[in-house]
Amino acid sequence: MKKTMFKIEEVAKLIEKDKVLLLAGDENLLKKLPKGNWIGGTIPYFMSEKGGMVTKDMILVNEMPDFIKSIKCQAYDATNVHAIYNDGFENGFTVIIVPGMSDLHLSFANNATDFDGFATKPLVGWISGGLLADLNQRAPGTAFGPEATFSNDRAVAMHIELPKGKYAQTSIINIFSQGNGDQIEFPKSGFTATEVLINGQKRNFADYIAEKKLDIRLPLVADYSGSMINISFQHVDQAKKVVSFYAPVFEGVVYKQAGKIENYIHKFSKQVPSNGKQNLTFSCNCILNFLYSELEGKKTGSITGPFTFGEIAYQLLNQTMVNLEIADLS
Amino acid sequence: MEQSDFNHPVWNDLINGTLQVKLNYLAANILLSRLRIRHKLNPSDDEIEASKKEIFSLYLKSKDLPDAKADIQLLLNK
Repeated sequence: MKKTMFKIEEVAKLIEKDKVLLLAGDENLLKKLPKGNWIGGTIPYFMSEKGGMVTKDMILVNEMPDFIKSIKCQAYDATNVHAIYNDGFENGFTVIIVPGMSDLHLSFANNATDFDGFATKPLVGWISGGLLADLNQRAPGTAFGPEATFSNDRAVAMHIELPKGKYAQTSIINIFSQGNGDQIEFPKSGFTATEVLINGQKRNFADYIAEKKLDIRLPLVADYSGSMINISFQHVDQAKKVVSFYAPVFEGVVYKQAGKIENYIHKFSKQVPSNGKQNLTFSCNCILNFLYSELEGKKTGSITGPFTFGEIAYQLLNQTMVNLEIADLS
Repeated sequence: MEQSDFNHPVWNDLINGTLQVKLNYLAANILLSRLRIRHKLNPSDDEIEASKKEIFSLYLKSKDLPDAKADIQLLLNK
């Protein structure tokens, strides 16, 4: 199986050879890398070739294939992130890394669906993070290879152009599906909720969760014409009667809480495509899947990538694996 | 799939939700969901026309991709 975890010296050599790289690793390592064709984000949790891993000493390297036609690396802040879709190549895809817990994280999550050209070009990526025990001391960040700079409030993106005859296709693996419980609707979009409609009846959501003894490790799931899209619970503040989430809930969408999962690896393995689609160009998976399903040391098939603080497939997702495959047009 | 397929009623039915189908093309799943919310909040003729154009254009430009092709077959029977 292809090596994905590298020492910093090895990564520097790849950069010096002009390789096009997507990187994930600790801030101290990313800051030491030379200028080049790469972007990176902070995270110490990985789906490595050896299984789920936590390390601040190695960098996960995702080298783009040699056949790509061209690349354009770009940094984004609140003033230009709305152009992320239109900036992409007509035939290609874009990978974006957004610093976790930043204003841009919130802004992207809330507004991406209204950006010009939304979903018209493949966009994948992730929200950077850090060791959970360190988060109060160190904010998640991103690194921009062309300038060898690091930031806690700027997103970095790589737009990749593909040659004629090849195309990029985004897919998700979500082991959760809607359970048999109540229908939940939110009168207002956002990362927090107080009042909700439960089967059409107005209720305080925190009270409802307590009354029903909901296991908040199971996300809310919306059915997007057959694609199951999750919103993960972050916290229920019973004193303030406020429920917070890791991605915004949207007004007008009907959610149900996910049904219980007995064995993540078993269910996940059943959903991993077996028709040759395992040769993926990009993958990321959710830190909550790593934590709740105790994936340290366990292999997620042949798929490698970072465990992240949010996954992006056109918009922000939770508790989901995002994949991008490059294939030949027949 | 051609430009003239824009006149097919299926696009209207997709946006207003009278047609509930399981789509294969993830970009369309996600875009359609957004457009349906927009329609729910503002069901004006202008809004539905704009939404139809968005979902149709996505399929037209993606018509050679396998997942989009499967949806086009399902939606337009072609």
